[in-house]
Amino acid sequence: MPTLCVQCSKDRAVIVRPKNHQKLCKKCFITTFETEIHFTITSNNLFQRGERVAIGASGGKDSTVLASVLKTLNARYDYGVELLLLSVDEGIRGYRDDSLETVKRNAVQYEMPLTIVGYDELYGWTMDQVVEQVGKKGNCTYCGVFRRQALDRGAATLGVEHVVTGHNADDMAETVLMNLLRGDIARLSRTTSIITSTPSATAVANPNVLANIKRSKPLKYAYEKEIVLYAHHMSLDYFSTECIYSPEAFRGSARALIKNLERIRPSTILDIVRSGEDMARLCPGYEDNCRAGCNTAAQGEEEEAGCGSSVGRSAGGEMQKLEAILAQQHISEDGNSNGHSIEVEVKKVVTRVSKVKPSKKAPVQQTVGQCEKCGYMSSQRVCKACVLLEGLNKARPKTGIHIADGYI
Amino acid sequence: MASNTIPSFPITVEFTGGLELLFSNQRKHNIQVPEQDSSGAKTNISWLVDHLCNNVMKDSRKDMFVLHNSVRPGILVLINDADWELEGESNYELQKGDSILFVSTLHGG
Amino acid sequence: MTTNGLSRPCKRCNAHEAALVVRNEPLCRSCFTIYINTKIIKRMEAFRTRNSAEGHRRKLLLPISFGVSSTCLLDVLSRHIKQQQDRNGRPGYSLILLHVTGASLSTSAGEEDKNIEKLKEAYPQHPYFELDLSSVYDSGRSLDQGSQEEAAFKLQRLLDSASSATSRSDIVSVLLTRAIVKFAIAHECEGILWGDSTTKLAEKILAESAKGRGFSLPWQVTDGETPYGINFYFPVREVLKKELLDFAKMTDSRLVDLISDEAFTPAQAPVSSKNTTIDLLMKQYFESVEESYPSIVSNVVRTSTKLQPSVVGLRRCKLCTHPVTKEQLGIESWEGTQDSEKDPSGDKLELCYGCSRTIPESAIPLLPR
Repeated sequence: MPTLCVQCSKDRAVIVRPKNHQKLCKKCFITTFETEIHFTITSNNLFQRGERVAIGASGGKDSTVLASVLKTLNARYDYGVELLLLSVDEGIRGYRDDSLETVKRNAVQYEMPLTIVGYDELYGWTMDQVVEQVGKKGNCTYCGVFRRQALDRGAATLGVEHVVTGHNADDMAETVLMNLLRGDIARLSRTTSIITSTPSATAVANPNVLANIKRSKPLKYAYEKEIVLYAHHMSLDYFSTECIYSPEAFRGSARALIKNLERIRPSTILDIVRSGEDMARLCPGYEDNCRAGCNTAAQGEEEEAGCGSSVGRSAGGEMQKLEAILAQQHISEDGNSNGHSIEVEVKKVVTRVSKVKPSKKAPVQQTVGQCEKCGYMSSQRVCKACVLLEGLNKARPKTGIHIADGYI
Repeated sequence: MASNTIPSFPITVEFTGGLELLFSNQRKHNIQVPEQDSSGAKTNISWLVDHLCNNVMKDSRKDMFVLHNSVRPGILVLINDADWELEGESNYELQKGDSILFVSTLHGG
Repeated sequence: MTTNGLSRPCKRCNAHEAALVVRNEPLCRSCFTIYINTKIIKRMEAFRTRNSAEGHRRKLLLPISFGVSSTCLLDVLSRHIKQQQDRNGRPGYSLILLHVTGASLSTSAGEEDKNIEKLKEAYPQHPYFELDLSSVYDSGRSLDQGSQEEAAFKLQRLLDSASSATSRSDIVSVLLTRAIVKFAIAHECEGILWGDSTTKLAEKILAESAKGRGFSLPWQVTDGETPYGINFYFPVREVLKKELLDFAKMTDSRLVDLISDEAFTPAQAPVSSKNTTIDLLMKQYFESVEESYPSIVSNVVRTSTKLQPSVVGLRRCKLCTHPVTKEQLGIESWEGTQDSEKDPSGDKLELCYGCSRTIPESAIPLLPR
């Protein structure tokens, strides 16, 4: 005997909501899902009338659902925003080709203009070329940095100041756990903020334009499972690739934990996000850095969720690396057993690992300068991408950032 | 030897969300399901999962589909479009013409 | 025991053969024992003899679970007190031992009795007390049969209101803490010495985060004041669980006899059942992380304990009793629930976010005061 939907009591229930075990029919589920995202948008004031909003589109389930829902809600509730699709081509053959084809189809399906920015035109290097150069370990660092800038630069060329991404509740929960495991509580506030901002290149050109590009995550509280179900029941077109996050990488480990937790108590995904938000407020330095809206530049780069591509997942070893670094530090702190002091080259690493106490003197007003090399907004003399490019161009992939950020 | 005339019926099995990569990149499969399994009980999802693992999966990474004898957490199972939780999960007894969908939720987007 | 069979000399004394490798250092048995003792005693700085006034006994409560950690802690501190006595003529503090029954869901009553007798025999110098978990319901001092049974009944009803194994386990551990605190305060203890190892603390950090209680972590894992009205100390915080296991097997005192058998069993069973608990999941997780990446475990604890406790809210959650602001009560008062029709005043809510996941609002009347 089929169960009836608890909301309409008419149709057969086909969905069990992970967040509360509610049994819903297809129609009620779709409406509820859309309405909840609408609530997230309005209660956080994500959109302003007349705003141009670029949807970071990868062709994957999250961005496809995001585009579809935003289009629906924009029409239904008259947000008055102009929606565009913005896609990044990292130049990974076999991966991006298919997903870009999907995005192109999405552009037609959702009737939105599409802009594709490629790494080759931005940086002179495609990811395939980078991997050829540096191998499969650590190339994700490059991809992450490049992609982050690519989205911002792409938005800037379109004159857009607001980018939305499809980060969902599972991503958020995963990142919270990951940061706890890595001992990076400083990142917690950025991880859980629904809106973050970063310096934009346009500010220099036109002082009337806002200095920051806003990034928001309307799907922040949506369960990944529901996103998949929404896409399925709405027959949305998306591209998926296999996920091979190694369990020896922090994200892989966190992901496995999340999935097991979800089985025990489905609400844990939101519960972790909630904990993350609460703990962010308890981080030393929170008051200075985050009260007035999270300024990414003040605390370093934002976490990229990772592309899940098989091109170069840091094949395990991530946890091993950090373990080795910490073990050395422990020895040098404890003092050596025989009374000899061990000289350890941990300067850069110590800075990174002990960054958990961000300086209370970190200014809210970030002094933003320009990268010497490319003119992109940066709080450093040379922006991260240029540093990496310099290395690539000199055929020397190892840089200080590589070591310190080895566990992305 | 026993004859091969165990009555069976067809069902369709579909893999998406990246799972199809474990099954020779084929999304839809037509499977003949015997009415009873080796113990004489009606064949259910449990049986199907085993069968897929042992006889249909071409990839050696079984643990991407199954973990500790059950479907890996993160993989959704829909039985005729409905969540398998509503149908008894792995105990659901298969019927002729059933459409079983395995969707992986574990991938980027 | 990890005899490495490599016949290496101990890195510290260079005199004896190493018995095991600890954080990349081969150590002999006695150096290892010293290492563990030092790690723990280092954290008892505040309780040196010179810090206590003559004639004033500083009392500390040591809850005993007959698990590895609390038993090892008892051993180390007993030795420490004796040392203080020998050196200074008087100790810096004294211990009160407390065992709460009805909190462990596995040890049989018979085995518990055996361990208790052995413990009293081995450490007669410390007063030993026993309490049932349901005592958390006791309002006055009446200990008659009737009110004890009533308390046990209420506790059972509360546990029955929980809808999952993980929720039941959560209720038990929250009430256990409350019962211990209540006892410690009643006996004028200055603080409570918890036996939590580095590994246990890491488990707690992740488990409580998963339960939505991230806001209360500073009070649960750092040394110092707590909203319970008594200080918490974690002297074993720099020792890994696996190191404690080795220590228990290697010391001269027959600790192994005092520890329940299941404490030595690893929690490695596969987690595929929905009936497992969040705490057990984290225990299994860190048991394996500890094996290969022990520094990562330490790092989790070290960094997460830098979180500062929140500004004290005016209300108290009725279950965990932590102070919360109005915004932190219940599930509804958070955008994550995306429900536009929530109670705007939040006046009817009495459980913090995390606790509302464990028991329904309807079970609030079943809670102890």
